[in-house]
Amino acid sequence: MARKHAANPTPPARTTNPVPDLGGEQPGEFTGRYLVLMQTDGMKEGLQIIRAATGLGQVCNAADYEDGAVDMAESDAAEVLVLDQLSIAVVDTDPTQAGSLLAAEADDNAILAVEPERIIHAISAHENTGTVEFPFDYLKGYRDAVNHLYDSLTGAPGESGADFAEAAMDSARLTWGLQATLVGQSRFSGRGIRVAVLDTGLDLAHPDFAGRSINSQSFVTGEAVQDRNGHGTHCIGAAMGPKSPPTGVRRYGCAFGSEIFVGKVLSNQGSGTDRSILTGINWALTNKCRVISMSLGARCRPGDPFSQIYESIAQSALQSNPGTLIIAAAGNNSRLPNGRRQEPPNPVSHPANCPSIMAVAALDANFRIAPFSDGGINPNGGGVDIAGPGVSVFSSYPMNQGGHTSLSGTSMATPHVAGIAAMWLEARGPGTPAQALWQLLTGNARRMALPSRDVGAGLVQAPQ
Amino acid sequence: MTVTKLLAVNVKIDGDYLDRLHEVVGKLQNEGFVLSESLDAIGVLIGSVPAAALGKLSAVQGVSAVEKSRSDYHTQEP
Repeated sequence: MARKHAANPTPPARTTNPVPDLGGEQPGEFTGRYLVLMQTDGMKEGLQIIRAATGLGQVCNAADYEDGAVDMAESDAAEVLVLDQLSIAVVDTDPTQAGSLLAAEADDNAILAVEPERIIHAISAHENTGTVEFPFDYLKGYRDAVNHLYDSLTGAPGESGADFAEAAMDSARLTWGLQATLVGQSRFSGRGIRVAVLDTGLDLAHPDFAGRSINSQSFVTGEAVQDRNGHGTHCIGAAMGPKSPPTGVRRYGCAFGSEIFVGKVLSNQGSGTDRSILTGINWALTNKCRVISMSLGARCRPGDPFSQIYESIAQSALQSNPGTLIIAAAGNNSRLPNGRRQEPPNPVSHPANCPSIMAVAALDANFRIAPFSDGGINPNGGGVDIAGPGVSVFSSYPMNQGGHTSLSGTSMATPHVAGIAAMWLEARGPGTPAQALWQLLTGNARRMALPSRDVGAGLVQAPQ
Repeated sequence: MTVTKLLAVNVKIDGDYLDRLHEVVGKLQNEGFVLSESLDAIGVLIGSVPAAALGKLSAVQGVSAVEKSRSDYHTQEP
């Protein structure tokens, strides 16, 4: 598992040492100290072994500080810092003595593993180093090292590792979803790819979309494309919002180079009919949109079959040359009144339940399935295919309603997949067939430690 | 006066019959189908039919599926 190592200068009062020779590949920067992982019920014995192996005596214990708020000046002076909640001792010793610790590790005793302490820099710099406030960045370094130890000991890939945790919060530059899907670091923007979002329309005067190629059409009788709901503007933002929003907010959109096709198929009240949706799909296909995003659905019950008509349309679109990928929200009908997710979840909604339509589930910033997100209950294609960021998703909103807001739903996860699909088309060439695009999305999704019933192939990832 | 209840329906045309769409539409109309829109790119006819005649539409040659039109679509926010 890739870990973040820094190109930045080392933090004050920490010196970068050459790689200690503990055998095996040890890439990265190190502090010169060692992390010793002990059995949770063997801390006392473990400390005795450390003392015996290293001759060190001055011990600082995190448990002696209120809320674990260790005074770093005192801990720096100590030769052994004990983090008893983590069953870890940080040992300030030289490589020779570390070798003795390694020998102790090999014995059958309270020492489970010994690892050189890594220097891991925070993504956002913690400049306030002069205070006695607990340095969380530094603790994060411990956590990463612990994860690494755990992975080494168990052979597990560390699915809920530090890389994930770091990505799970909006930064000043990027939403958590763009970090988790690797959109923020991608070279691609979906340049020139036509993406249709069939929804409640778009705030056509929104400054974040000024200068963009926008084609729009309303298929709702008596209503203009102008979005008076907000949902459509939010979805289009997540799929294709700008690289650097002129409004000064963090980046929230995936395919900023794509051509925007706005098909209004849901009313300003957020509801719609087959007539509007089918007409919208027809329009998007006529305009050679390569990706169609539909953050809409109608509830299904267990045992309901999928629509033959939608399936036939999606299958033809997928199989034509170069073809079009239709993506739809898995549905939001699985949250119980107490806020938890029902078990089993409600089945994937129509039309996402069609085998040839890519059904998108919603994950939260902690990479758990969203409690509302529907699951693959019905057979014959009614499964979830992929997952996207769908809880507390920041994106554009009509200017007369604030300009931006955070929303949750499989509605929000879906346009992330659509935007990333456009990025893959740019990356692999615009002639890439839609069927291959389906494989690129699912094949490159980040596997999650969650049932495929809930997340399909996993979390969608952008090409790099 | 008898009121005939009309059902809104979507009719999918078999891909092999798209070049003879006129013919298929004519046969559907003979069964009581009222065409409101023909969506060529997806091979779908949108229209309505007397409830009693619904079953006859799927038997028309060139029709691959007939479904009642839904109007219960919503944005997918919880």
